[in-house]
Amino acid sequence: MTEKMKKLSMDLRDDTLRDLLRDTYNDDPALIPDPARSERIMRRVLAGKQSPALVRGWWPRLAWVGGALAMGGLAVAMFIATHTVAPKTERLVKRPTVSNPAPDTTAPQELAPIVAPPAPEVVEVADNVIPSARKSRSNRKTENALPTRVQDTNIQNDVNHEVIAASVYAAEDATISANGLSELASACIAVGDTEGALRAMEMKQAQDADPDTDLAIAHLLTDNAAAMML
Amino acid sequence: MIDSSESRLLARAQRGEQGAFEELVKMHQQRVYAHCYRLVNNSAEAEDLSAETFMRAYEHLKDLRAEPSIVHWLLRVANNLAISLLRKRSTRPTVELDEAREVPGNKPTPEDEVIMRSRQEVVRRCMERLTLPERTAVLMFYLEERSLDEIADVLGCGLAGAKSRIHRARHRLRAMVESELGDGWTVPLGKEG
Repeated sequence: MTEKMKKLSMDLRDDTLRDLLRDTYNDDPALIPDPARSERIMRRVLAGKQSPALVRGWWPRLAWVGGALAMGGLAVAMFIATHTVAPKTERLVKRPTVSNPAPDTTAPQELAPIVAPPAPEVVEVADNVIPSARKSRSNRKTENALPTRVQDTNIQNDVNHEVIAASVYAAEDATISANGLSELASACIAVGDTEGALRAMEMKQAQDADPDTDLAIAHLLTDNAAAMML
Repeated sequence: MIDSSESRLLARAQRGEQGAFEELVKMHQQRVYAHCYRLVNNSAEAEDLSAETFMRAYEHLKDLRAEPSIVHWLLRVANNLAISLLRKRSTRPTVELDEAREVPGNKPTPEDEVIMRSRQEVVRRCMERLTLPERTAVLMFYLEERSLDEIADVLGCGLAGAKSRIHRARHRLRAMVESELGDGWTVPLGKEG
């Protein structure tokens, strides 16, 4: 390394230029050591060394504190804004999600009335077939339109549906009274089984022809057609 | 080469001893001043630059390292400050009073003195036309006879960069001096005829 450095230095050697520069600068009286100048420089350094630290130490800190406060205020404002606006947004977003059967315990209370009515209520109106059928249609639409809030009701409805459907198929092979078939049709309508209700009513009509039953069958056919279209 | 006294002084200064820092200033003040003076060619500005350089050193005292030498760091800072100063004054060269350059000791003949001053002015003018890194490189290499390592350290470049700067500056300087003084410039001052 040293040899290389020496070689590099030798390549650059220029005695004439060196002498010229020495003649120009070395005898310059400005470069003669001057105690007064040394003293002046020292005084300036010692006098000036305190102030820059003080000036630079205070203002930047103030700027940092101000910046931190501003950021903190912004964060608090965003936090408040998020927690006041979020429930409305959540409600608007959640309303169209019809296929989600999961219970939403955080939803506001105004959604509660949309819960599907319990099945036994429908059985009580079994004597009146047509209103039950209409009620059933509205119930079915409600079920399709909004998620059922109580999962147990769903399960109960499914079980009822299966039981009633089995009953309809069993009724085809057995002899059941017109009244029984009427109740069976109502039960079918209550759980939304239009086909089952139709079959039960057709069986009832076969046993005992009744204009009301005809009308009810006509309604059921319309409902069934509408349901098929949907 | 690490100066042990310098590293000891630096360690003491870093511990907060003001006297140690003053010693460091005294130790390097003349060299820093001379470097600044040659760069800016003005004693008052050189003094300002020297003072500012040492102030910066005090501010960054904790970061200073004695390896290879504090003076390299000081000269690098002085170089940067000189660049700023020269940018500010750019086309406004300052010339010191002639009285300040009176050479003490053996008085040359009036003719020699006239020729000497004329040459000195030409060389100074030509030096001012070099870029500051080139000027630094030439002064450190030819005048102060510093090693390429030191020059590279002060300029903040590698050995090859330092060498190329010296090489380029030398050629430019020779060409400029030759165009101003003619062929007779190679004869040493005071030895003509």
